[in-house]
Formats: sequence, structure tokens, C-alpha cells
Amino acid sequence: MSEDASAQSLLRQLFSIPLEDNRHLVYAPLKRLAFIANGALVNRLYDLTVRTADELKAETVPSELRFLADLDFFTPASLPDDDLPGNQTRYDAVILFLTNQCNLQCTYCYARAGEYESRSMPWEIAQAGIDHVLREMDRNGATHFTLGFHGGGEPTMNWPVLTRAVAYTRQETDRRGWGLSVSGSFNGYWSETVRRTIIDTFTDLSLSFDGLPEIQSRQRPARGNEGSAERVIDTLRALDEAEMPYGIRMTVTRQSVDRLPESIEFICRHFRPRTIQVEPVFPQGRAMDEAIIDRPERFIEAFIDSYDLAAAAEINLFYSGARLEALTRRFCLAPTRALVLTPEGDVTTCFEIYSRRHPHCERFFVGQYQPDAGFVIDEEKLHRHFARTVDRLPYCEACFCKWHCAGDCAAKTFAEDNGGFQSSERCRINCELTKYLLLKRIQESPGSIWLGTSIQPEESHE
Amino acid sequence: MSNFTKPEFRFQRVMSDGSQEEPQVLELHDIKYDWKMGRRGFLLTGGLVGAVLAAGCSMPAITYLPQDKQKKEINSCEGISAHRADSRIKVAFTPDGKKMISRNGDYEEKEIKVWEFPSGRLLEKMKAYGHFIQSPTGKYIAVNEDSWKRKILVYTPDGESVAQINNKLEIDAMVFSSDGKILATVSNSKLINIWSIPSGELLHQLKPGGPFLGQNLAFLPTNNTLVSRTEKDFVFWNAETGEITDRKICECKLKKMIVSADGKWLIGKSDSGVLYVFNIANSRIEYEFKIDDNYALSKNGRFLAFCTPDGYFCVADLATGEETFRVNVNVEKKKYWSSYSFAISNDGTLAAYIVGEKEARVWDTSTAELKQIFSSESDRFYNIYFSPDDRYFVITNYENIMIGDMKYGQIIACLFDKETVKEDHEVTQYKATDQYGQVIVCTLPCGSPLPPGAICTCNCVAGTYVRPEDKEKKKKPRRGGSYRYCSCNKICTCVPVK
Repeated sequence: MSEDASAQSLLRQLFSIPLEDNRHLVYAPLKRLAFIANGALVNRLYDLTVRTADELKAETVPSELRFLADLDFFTPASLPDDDLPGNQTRYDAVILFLTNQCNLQCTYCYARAGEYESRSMPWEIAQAGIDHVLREMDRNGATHFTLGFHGGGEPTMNWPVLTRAVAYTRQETDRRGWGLSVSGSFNGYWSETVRRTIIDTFTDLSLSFDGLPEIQSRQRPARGNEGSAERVIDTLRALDEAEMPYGIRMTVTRQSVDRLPESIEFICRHFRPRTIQVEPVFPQGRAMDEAIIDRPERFIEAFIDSYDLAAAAEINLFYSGARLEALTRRFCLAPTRALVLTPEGDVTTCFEIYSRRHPHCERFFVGQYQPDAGFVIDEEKLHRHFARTVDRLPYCEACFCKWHCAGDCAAKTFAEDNGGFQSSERCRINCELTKYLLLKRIQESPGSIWLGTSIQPEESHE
Repeated sequence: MSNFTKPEFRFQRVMSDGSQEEPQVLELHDIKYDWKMGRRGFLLTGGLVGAVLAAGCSMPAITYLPQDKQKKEINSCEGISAHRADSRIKVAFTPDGKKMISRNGDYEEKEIKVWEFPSGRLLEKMKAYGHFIQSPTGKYIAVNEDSWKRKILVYTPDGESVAQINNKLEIDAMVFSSDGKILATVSNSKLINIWSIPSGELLHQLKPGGPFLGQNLAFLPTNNTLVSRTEKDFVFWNAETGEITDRKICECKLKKMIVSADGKWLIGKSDSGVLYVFNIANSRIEYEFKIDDNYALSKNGRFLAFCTPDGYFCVADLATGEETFRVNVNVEKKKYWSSYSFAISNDGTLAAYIVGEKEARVWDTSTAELKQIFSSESDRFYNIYFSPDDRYFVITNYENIMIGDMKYGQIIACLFDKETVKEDHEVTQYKATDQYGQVIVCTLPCGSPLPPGAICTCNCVAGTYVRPEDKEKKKKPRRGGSYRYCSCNKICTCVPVK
């Protein structure tokens, strides 16, 4: 690398985010280094970083800025490794979308669950998916299997296949001496039998719950418009009593956004989830215009007002686009490690592309189960999907969040043209909340300089 | 969703640093004021949102501006709770108006409460889960025992348990006959059970057959005729014999059907937001109104209150089908979706609407005159009710029940259950007599101004406690739930709740 190139490289890795009153958040995400500078310091640092590498040797750095040199501020960092070297999958998980049916009628359901002709995954496809991943793991050497349930409808509505899949996978992993995680995303509107079985056989789960009972019942009514809060609350209590690890997933609408802090407080007061994920409703499926939050600031402010409430209860409140802990080129690693199957046996690369009715299914469906041939994968399509990394998105090149949100969820930013990408209001939320989290870290850091550590993202679905 | 402007956070020189400034790493004191983007960031995305509200606030008062413009104030009901928080409190009155039943959906509380009305004295608490229904005579109250909704508990308003009903299936809805001697339940949208009250005996199992719409169950007010609903017709049953007595065709897919108190109308709302008013006598839909969500019927069965999808609060006269009252509440309704609530008085002459959680407005429906405005900075208003005699109104939120005087527009009592607060929570209590001669028990936050003539209740103030072992000797009144006893100290002062 030439010296000029080195300086350019360093400059591309540094960001300044303007705050109020001539203050600037200086951020080097690849070094996980952040602090607040006045304008004079920003300009001094800029003048130093555009120098050649020789000039940038520590000796030339003024003594008052030596502490930054000691933190390697003036040295370019290496980019995050690609989580998918060689664009090759390494399966150790199968995610089954068991049905498109649901016992709730959520006002914003992205999949319009229950509105279409019933589709339930037959055992044959579920077993084939599990067997496919078991064989892959035999080859790739992985020894911990993850069985997950998600998508389209409420997985427990296909109860025979769910219970059989769990029993079968446990039998197969036990036989091999492997570890097993059984997980899934559910609505919690369960009978006592379902509740007990899930608690007894799953290792963790995610439960959709919108907070205050009246908001839950209003946004997530049971069939027949009856409120769902009481029964889901009973499920949450049962999970707590069983000390089962679980997370809560909340969808925030225009109507509920101002009461998000109340909802978080309610959850923290009554339940013990490990995490609470909050997401603004996305315009898809049954989400009508009036449910969409009109200004992103409303969601941002509500999240910020809620954050400390959850923190006080030692519950991690998060939003999928603001992941300070992650340094990655990809928003979601689900398709790199998991075989994700729809009820019809289609292989999808996204948890939110759940059926052939979805407008983007052509782009995200990369294979299909065929009774005689097993899973037939369109490798070219799969690699095209894997080619979407944040370093290839021109829109993100000057954004300080790029290595965190990694261009955000592919399903939510997909466009038929424009290189397959379009931005959304989520981008503003991602930036503002990432910045907020940075400020929180700085505030908590000695000397007002934050030096963080990173983890890699798992499958992300919001 | 449209494309948004590209984020621009490249590290670059800034222009407004101040030439005399020394380079500095700055400390961060208050994130609340710092999280928003400065000038640069998303280029061309327009102005920033306004300032964040300053933290901290005083405890403002509920303010009432009566018609004579003479301002009167009482303090907030904040901290004077009738139920534990978590869900909106709903109330209903016994037909004689002397008792009020309340519940909130708090899954931990699991009880309904009966209050003397309007004095505000807590009379009874009964185990319950979720909703309750009351027989038209006011003799019985039925509740679910738990969230599985298979066991029904039947009480009298005095708290006496008179029946326990075990239904094998989850109950979707239940309703009392006009005389209260029959309870009908519907399960799985296909099976109606008829129970005798108070014996709890199962009298009949009705199987309507074909597509049956659950939650649609009502009794006519004059006899034991039960009405259920299929997709195409209303089915009339003799609940005593279990036989179908009539069917009336109506191509109206409605939900949550009710029968008007005069027995003239069957009313229900469709999924598409049409409110159907079906004339039982001539078997036809007499009126249709496009509504947004809920509706309310005056007790005399003549006036219907509802909101329209375009944001008007309306009252219609079912004698003519004409709207008699209409006011635009669009801005408030859109902004405060979750708190939108209204009520109509028993004779239909007054209509009340909660505006944005902070204000209740009452109109004369015949003249459209705005009669009263109640507002609060600290108490949220979620639901509003008229008392059976229309003299009082009741406003509830998650934890408070506030009784107000309709004529003078004042909050006169905050109902209080001491078990909803921690011990040593301090309140001021006194009794007062209202304009109708009713004695009201007032429990207010410390520091609330007291009206002239307020008579304080037996307040356990320092120096008045009597040790338990002295109980028999001194024969002092015992305060419930405590080992402490006190003499009646008629001093209006803040005392810990015991």
C-alpha cells in the first residue's frame, strides 16, 4: 500500500458525527474507538490523518495527542473478515417454517398469516431438511445442531410435525453425541399442553409480545378479535417459573410508539426475559399505512426513553439495526449456517421471505426440495445473494454504521433495480440509535474515550 | 418506501470550530440532549425535530373550569390507586346505582372490586380473571376464574359466592337472562350451554350447527329468549326448553352483538366497520353506520354514540335514524389512538369523549353545547362513564378511579384500595357531603387542599396507636389488615396507610 493510499485508507475508516454545540463524535469503528471532540480537535486530527505514513509516526504526533497514537488511532485497521469465506455455506442448523396458519390475527402481520389457503409442512420435508443438515455436519465437522422454528404462521399450529421434528433431531444428535439447541419464534398464545411441551423440550425461544396488555390485545388479537394478552402473559409467567431463557420481540406501531417506555417498564416489572428486541413495524403484509410510524424520530425517542428502564432491570433492550457489538460485512448470517425451509419445501435465504406469494421470493428462494433428488440448490442464485456485503454498497460507504448494520436486512432494502438495494427510514434509525449507544458507552468510559470489543452476528431477523 | 439521502459522515474538517479554541476531548454529561444529529449527517433531509422536553415536573392539579368561570381545583389522584396498574380499569354500576363494580386486567391482581357509590367506600373484593358480566337485575356477577376460561364463578354484589360452573371447553362469551336465573355460555363458536343460576346446573346444550359466529350471544330483555348468530341469520331460542323458536335472516356479518334495553334492536359491528341496527320486529336492518371501532348505546336504548372513521364523534337517534350530534375529534383521535374512549348518558342527553388522555369533554347532544371540560396534567384519562342517574361521571386510567360531579364539574373522590400501595404510603382522608347530600369518602395525596367542612376519618397519627394487647381493654376500633389500632383522631393530616 502506498503512503497516500494508507492515509486514504485511514480516512475512510474514520467518521465524525456532528452533535450540537460544535461538538463531534469521532468514531473509528474498526478499532472500536470513540470520543467526543470539539471542532478544533477534529480539524487537528484531520490534518494529521491526511499526512503520509512517515509523517504519522508517533514521534510526529503532538504530545497532547499522543494518547490517541497510543491507541493506534492513526494506523489503518484491517477490515472485518468475511463470515463466509469462499461463499460456501457451512450448515449446522435447520429452520423450519411449519405453517402459514396462526391463532392470532396481528394487525401488522408481515405474512398475512391465516388469510391464505392453509399450507403446512409435511413431515417428509421436515425430516429431509434435518437429515440434509446432519449429513452436511458429518462433512464439515460441526458438532452442535440447531433446530429452529419460524416464519409465516405460528409454528405450534403444525404441532405433530413440530413435536416429531424435535424428537427425531434429539434422537439423531444423541446418537452422534452432538449438542442440540431447539429454538423458535412464537406468539405464546398456547394451550397448557403446548406450553408445557415447549418448556420441557426447547432450549430457548423468542416470544412476540407487544408490552402493555391493552396494546398486545389491540395489535395482536386472537381470532375472533378477542384479546390475547392474558394467555400470552400466562405463558411468560410459565417461562419465568421454569427459568427458561427467552427473549421478547416487540413490534412498535404509530399507535403504540409513544407508550413504548410504559411497555418496557411493564415487561421489566413482571417478567424476566434475557432480551427485548423492539422493531418499528415495516410496511408489509397487513401493516397498513396508519400503523407505520410517521416519523422515525418518534421511534428513536421512544427507544432512548426505554433503554435505561431495561438496563436497570438488567435486560438487554435492542433494535436489530443498531448493533454496536458486531463488526461484520453481512447483516444476517442465517443462510450461511442454516437451511431455511418454507412449508412447501422451498429453500429461502431470509426468514421474512416465507412463501411463494412474497413479491421477492424469486430473488430470495434459492432451492427446493424434490422428493427424488432431495434439496436442489441454485448455486448461482445463492452466490448472488451472498455477494451482498456492505463493502459493496455505495450507499453505505460514508456511513459510520456500515460495519455494524452491514447495509441492514436484505429483505427490507431489496430493490429490483439500483443494484438490488434501496435505503429506507430504518437507515436513519440505525444511525441515530447506533450513535446513541456510542454516546452511552462514552459516558460510561473512564476518560470519556470508549474502547469496545466486538462479537459476530448470528442469524438476524427483525 | 422511497429512497433516502445517503448518509455522509466522512471524517473531514469542520467549519465552526472557533479559531481560539484548544483541541479537546469533551466529557458527556447528558445524553438526553446529545443524541440527535447535528447539521451534517443525512444531507438534505430537512430540519431537526424540536427540542427534547425538559426533565422533571411538578404535580399539577386537575383543573375544572365550571360554567360560571370560577376556577376550582383539587389535587391530582396520583398515588391514590383503586387497582394495581397495568391495564385500563373498567367499571359498571348496579341497576340501582348504589354500587359500582370495577376491574382491571392486571394479571396479578385477579379480582374485581365492589364500591359503594358515590361514597367511594370499598365494600368487597372477589376472585376473578379478566372481564365480568352482571345480570340485568343486578343480583349476580359472573366472572372467569382464570385465563383458561373454563370455570365461571358467580357472586352477588355483596361478595357472596353463589355458584361455580365448570365448562369443559374454553368459554368465548357469556350472558345472563333478563331475570338473572339463566346464564348462557358459548364455546369454540359452536356449543351453547344453558346454566341455571344459582344452582349451577346445566340445563341444555344447544348446537346451532353450520357456521356459527361466536361471541354473539344476547338475551331479549322481556323473557328468556336467547339470540345467537350464524353467518346468515339470527337464531332465537327458548332458553328454558332449549328449542329454536324463530330465525330471522340478516346478511350482516356482525360481532359483539347486543340487544337494546327496550328489546327493539339487535346491534353489532362488522369487520369492515359497519354498525348494523337490526329491527327485531320487522326483521330488517333499519340503519347502518360506518364507525371506527367501538360504539355505546344509551340505557334507554334510543341513542347510539360512535366515532366515524374520518374522525367525528356522533350520536344517532334510533327513533329516526338521524344523527343528532356530531363533533370533530379527528386530531385527538389520530394522535391518541390508544386512549380514545367515549360514553353516552343514560337518557342520551349528554355525550362524553376523552381527548388525548388528558381531557374529558361533555356535550349536550341536543344543542351541541360544550358543557364541561375536565383536564389534568398528571392523571391520565382512559375511560369515562356516566352514573345511572347521570349526576356523576367516572373517569378511570390504569390505577385510578375518579368520581366527578357532573353539575359542577369537579372531581370529588379518588377511590382508594390501601392494598394497592406500600405500607407507609401517606394520604389525606376526609369525608364530605356533596350537593345531593351524599357523603363521600375522599382520599387525596398529601398536601391537597381540603374543602370547608371536611370531616376527617379516623386517622392513625402518631400518639394514637394502641398496642394490640390493649385491644380488649380499650375496645378501640381495629383497622383492617393491621395489628395497629387507633382512636378516631379527627384531624385532617397526612397519615401512613395501615
